[in-house]
Amino acid sequence: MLYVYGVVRARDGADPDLEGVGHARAEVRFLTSGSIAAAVSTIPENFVIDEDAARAHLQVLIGLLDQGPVIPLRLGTIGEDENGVRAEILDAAPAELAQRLDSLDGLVELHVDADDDEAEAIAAIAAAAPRPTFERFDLESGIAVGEQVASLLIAHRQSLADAILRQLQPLAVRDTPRSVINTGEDPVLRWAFLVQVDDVSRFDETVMGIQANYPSLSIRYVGPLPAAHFVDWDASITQEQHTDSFTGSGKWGW
Amino acid sequence: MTAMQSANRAPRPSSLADVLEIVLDKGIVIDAYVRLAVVGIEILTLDARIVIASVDTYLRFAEAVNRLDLQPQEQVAGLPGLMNELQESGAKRKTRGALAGVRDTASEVASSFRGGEDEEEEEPVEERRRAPAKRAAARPRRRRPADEES
Repeated sequence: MLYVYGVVRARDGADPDLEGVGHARAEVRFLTSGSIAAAVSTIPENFVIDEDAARAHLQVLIGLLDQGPVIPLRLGTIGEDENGVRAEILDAAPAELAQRLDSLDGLVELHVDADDDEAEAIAAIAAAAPRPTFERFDLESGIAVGEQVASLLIAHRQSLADAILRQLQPLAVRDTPRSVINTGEDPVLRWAFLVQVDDVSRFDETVMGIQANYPSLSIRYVGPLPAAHFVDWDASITQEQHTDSFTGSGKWGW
Repeated sequence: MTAMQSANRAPRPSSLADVLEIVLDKGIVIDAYVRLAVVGIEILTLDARIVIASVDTYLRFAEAVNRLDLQPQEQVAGLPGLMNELQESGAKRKTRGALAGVRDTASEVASSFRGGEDEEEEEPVEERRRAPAKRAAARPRRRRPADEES
């Protein structure tokens, strides 16, 4: 059985720097067909995906990204053998895969997360008008006040997010929310940016500047990652041979 | 919080949830190949991400405001106690699911969410437990015959 990590440009052999899933030092090697290759490693028959496998999968993708564009496959993608992987993955849509790799060349994904301190944020909200006030000391009044606080928190965080995005979006080729602010418990920012490799250091500086300007925000900044949030796939390349009706409508999906 | 935090770029996400967001939510799916091995994680992450703006949350916010002493003292005398009581079961249970690792089964996570409901159901039971104890003390003979019958 072969575990498949992602699709890269054609290359042969193995990458000794990468460590695959399933067992220690599982060798990651490449199966090539035409101009593209699949990064795979052998897994035991009783392979089960656990936290280590999820982390190893991501680590392999990050390692592959060092050497060129990567189309990440979903965690848990498994093929019976080399011919199966070639036939079902590489030869399924070779032109589209190659084109997609070209479009990702020189681009990396960066994540910026921002969280505030809830108590501080509520204190700031409560200090400004309109103040939430209790009419009575009962449950109903408590919920009403909490609702007011929640909506003020959402607006407060949204404005912080907008301010941060105004600085970062111009440095990115594309960007997309990884989650949005819907409730009073949602964080300030969860965002993914697709950035040219050459612009990463400018992006670094800007993130540092944002942290300096908003010392009360806790900012997490991660990357470079494979462009998982930007590998949108045109449904039109769906292959017809779809024997398994369990998983849904097409061979390719999200 | 007081010390300025640096925003140094980390090479990879540290939390499992963030790892899964990339490798599980966003990789391209070739469904002929995706095995049931993944299903457990899928259910787990869905469960872990259920976040509802609940009464618990509102009450937590209200209590935070209350702690800031923004309202006449006489009005809020009874409020913190009431809120603490209502929150005790609810406030903690959401984080339990989110912190659970992949090794936990989906059903364990699911039950941790159900756990909140169970606790809510338990509260009245506790009340009942206390109440009959008083009644039993006041009228001990009334219960005994029934106990002996069984």
